[in-house]
Amino acid sequence: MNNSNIKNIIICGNGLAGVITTAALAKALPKETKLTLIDTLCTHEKDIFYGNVTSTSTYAFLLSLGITEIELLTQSNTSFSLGTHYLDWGEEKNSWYQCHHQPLPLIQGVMFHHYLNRITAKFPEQSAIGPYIMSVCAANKGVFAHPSKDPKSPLKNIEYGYHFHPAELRKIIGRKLDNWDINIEKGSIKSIEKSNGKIKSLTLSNGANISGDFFIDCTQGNLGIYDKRINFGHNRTLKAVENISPHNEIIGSCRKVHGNIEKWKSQTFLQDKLQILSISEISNKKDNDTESRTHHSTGVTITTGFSENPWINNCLRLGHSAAVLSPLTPAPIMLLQNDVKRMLELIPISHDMKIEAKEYNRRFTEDYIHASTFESAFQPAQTIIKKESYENKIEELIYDKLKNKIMQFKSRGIVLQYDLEPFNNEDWIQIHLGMKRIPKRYDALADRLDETQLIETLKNIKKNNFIISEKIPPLNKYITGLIKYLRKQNDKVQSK
Amino acid sequence: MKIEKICIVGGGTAGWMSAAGLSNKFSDLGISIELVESDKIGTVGVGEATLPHIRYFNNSLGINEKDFMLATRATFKLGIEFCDWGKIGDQYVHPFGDYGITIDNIEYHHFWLRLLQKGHKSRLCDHSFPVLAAESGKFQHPQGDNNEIGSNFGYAYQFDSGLYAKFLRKYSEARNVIRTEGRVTEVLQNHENGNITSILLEDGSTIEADIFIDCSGFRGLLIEQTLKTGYEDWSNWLPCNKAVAVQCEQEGPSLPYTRATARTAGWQWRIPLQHRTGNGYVYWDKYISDDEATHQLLSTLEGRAITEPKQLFFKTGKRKKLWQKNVIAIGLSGGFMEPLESTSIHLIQEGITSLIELFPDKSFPESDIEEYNRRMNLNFDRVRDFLLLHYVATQRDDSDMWNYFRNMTLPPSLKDKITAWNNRGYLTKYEHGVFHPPSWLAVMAGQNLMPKSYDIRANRIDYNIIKSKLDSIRNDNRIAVKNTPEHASYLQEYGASIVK
Repeated sequence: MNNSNIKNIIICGNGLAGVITTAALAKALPKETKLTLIDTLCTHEKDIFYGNVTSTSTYAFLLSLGITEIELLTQSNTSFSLGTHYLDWGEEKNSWYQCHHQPLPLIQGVMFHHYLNRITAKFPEQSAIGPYIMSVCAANKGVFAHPSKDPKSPLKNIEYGYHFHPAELRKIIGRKLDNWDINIEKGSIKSIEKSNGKIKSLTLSNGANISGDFFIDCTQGNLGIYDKRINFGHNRTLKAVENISPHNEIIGSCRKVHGNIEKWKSQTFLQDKLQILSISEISNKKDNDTESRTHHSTGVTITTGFSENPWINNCLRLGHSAAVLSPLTPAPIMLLQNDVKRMLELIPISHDMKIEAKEYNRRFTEDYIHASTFESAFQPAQTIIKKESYENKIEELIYDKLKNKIMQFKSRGIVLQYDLEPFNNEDWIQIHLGMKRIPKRYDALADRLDETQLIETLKNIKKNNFIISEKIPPLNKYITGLIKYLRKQNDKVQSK
Repeated sequence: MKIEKICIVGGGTAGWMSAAGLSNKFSDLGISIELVESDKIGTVGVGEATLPHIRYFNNSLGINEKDFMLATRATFKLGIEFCDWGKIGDQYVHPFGDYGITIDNIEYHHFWLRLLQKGHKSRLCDHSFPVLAAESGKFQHPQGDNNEIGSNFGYAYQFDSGLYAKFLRKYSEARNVIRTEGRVTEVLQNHENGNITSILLEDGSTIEADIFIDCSGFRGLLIEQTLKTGYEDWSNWLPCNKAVAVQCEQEGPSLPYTRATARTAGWQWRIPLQHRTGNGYVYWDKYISDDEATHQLLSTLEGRAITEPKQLFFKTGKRKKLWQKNVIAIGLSGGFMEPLESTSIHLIQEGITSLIELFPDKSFPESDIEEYNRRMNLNFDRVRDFLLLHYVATQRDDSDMWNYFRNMTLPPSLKDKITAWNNRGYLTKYEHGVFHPPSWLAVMAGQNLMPKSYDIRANRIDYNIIKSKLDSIRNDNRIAVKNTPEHASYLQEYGASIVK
């Protein structure tokens, strides 16, 4: 017996978003629900805008799709990532590590960074935050180890994501779909049959007519149930040029990024290759110029922004058809995961999907506002100013949230938190300090700790982090060793 | 410039909790604290039942649980039993903790709903250890491993708030808080910025301070009478505006839960302490007279009344700004919502912890004030929606008050939450606020809002496997409760009972 009238779900587009969505549904739905993935015969070059670094949530997310870490490491060139090292960023030429890690210790109930602020005048050499963060110390040395379960080890504070290539990740998931015997139709979309604003079926170039109850559009908006991308705010056109070269050795457990918010270049070590990604913003005004057209001819372009209503009637847009974020941060892949998670929680159960759509759209919009707020935090202070008028309220909201966050931090080191933000306190503290937003005051309670004791505590944390980072292996050694070990384990299990 | 002097106006629960919280953190930073109260002004003694968060408050003060329980005649609290809310004859307990466990990342209640729709009926309550323990009058502290049944629940206390204030007074005075007896006759303000500079007392003495905590109760001596901050009136949503309270003798052993029984024009509370039971009737005076309310309360007491009935009146809502200039309103001066979910003391606690985190200097930066008000507004708003849920999730049509609620236009945030639940058992989440999905689930399911459907992913697992899993969880709960001591004897054994 089934509690649902939705028997037939069509996923359109087999780029990264499409295969992830299909895999997630295949793992979650009861067998009776039929899934069809349409390979629209497109290239997936725009998947490059999902970037090369994931957040810490990717391990669990992939596992929920049935992809283990060992599969990821052995079947693709994915590598471990401790975060991103921003170098000479912006006009101010700021450099800092933006690493994944557990919260820094509270001392007498007060957040750690207040103590650094307290001692900054008297002990400037002790006041930089990096050396207190284990993953920053490891990233700095190019070494890596999994988080430790030992509560005494500084390694317990490490968290990690992956360096990945979207095309390779897509391939791994695609192979899973093949193994699971997912129904895949090949053909570009020739026509869309609708009634009462709802999609009934799709006719493909191969002549097939695919009808369904619920359509997930993972193309670039190909389903065309909408006139245009309504309310697509915060638009910037980005161009990406990718350059991949083989390397002899992975150097660095951290992506490197140089430049400024309009034009930057990243260096990411995958297991077998070094990927260099250059992103530049193209002025929209020039779009019709011949000069700009030639300019467009190399690389891939895309327009950033997001829809306020990705789900209308029986069609949900997921992936680039609904939102594009800059790959400057792990946001694109992080929010793609979030999109899939919220879709799973709201898989429709009847043909009336208004309630699901409303809740999905609410959560989606909040999430993308928060991710955009984080990205906007990479701008220099002088460009964060209120405009006289905004084309849409979303842009104004992003501005207001960022302004409040910066004001609270600069005023007294408060990390202002809205509901269910994708980026956590640790992310925000690192970027604020990295961008030299130094709090004028610190928490009054930070004065309760005796100065000698404080300096002693700080020195100890630093020392322990340093000792461990000397001990753990460089990333390439670690991966080779790990794969060897896991293969052995695997063989043992199989021989039994 | 650092703040050197804090003045707290008003004793009572809010005043002494503030004094304790602030002196714990600030008395060794060269900040002096003075509390002014008058024995001639009675205290309201808001809510005698609490939420688990109070344990963090006590812990941060370094208070020993047994000492605290002995001093305040406290009992343990596992939740609130709601009677007659969905319809007359209904009963459920809202516990502190989850129901069951998540299975494949899917919330437990979807599986429960699936079985229910197949005709395999069980009370949601049977899937919760604290509910079953409460219903059998049993209690013990959460044990060892966090994943075991009987370990992963929260608990709070039911206590005499007057005694709690006394207990904290002792604590505060030991940390150099000065208590001054006296009634405030005049409040002086700085002409330029409107900040309060000092208060004058009856005996002619003056207290100057840099910052004032207004714990003067409903009237809001500083925040309202002086600063004219304004009040956000919520009585169209929470229209009950009076209460009558009385204490009675306890019949039988003290129980580890609070009870809230719906009545035709309001609701009645019963809070068992170690030595007596607190009772009260919160009502809307439009639909019942004071005499009738008092009569109804007295006629339903479970033991002999030991105090005279005490009448209170109030307007639900909150101050437009809880922090205005150099005055922070904590307690009833900041706002009031009926104690249906024991939130009064919790909101006091939130006010104190936020103030400690955002403690200003003498320049009173606007950013501190803004952030404090933002946080507290969110807390108040979300509590309001949750309280309102109790009134509107009902089939009762036996009185004008219930008809009023059934015809009410809800705040959109609440309406969407209820619709998503009704349609598919979906629980809307937020991060900041007191009541999280399990609480919403407890009340909605407890008051007979039964979803039409559930998360389809719950169908992936074979029916029989799910059935036996849920059965075994219920069974484990029953066994765990069987092995749990009686609350009253546990209190004694623990050494927290005044009854030896």
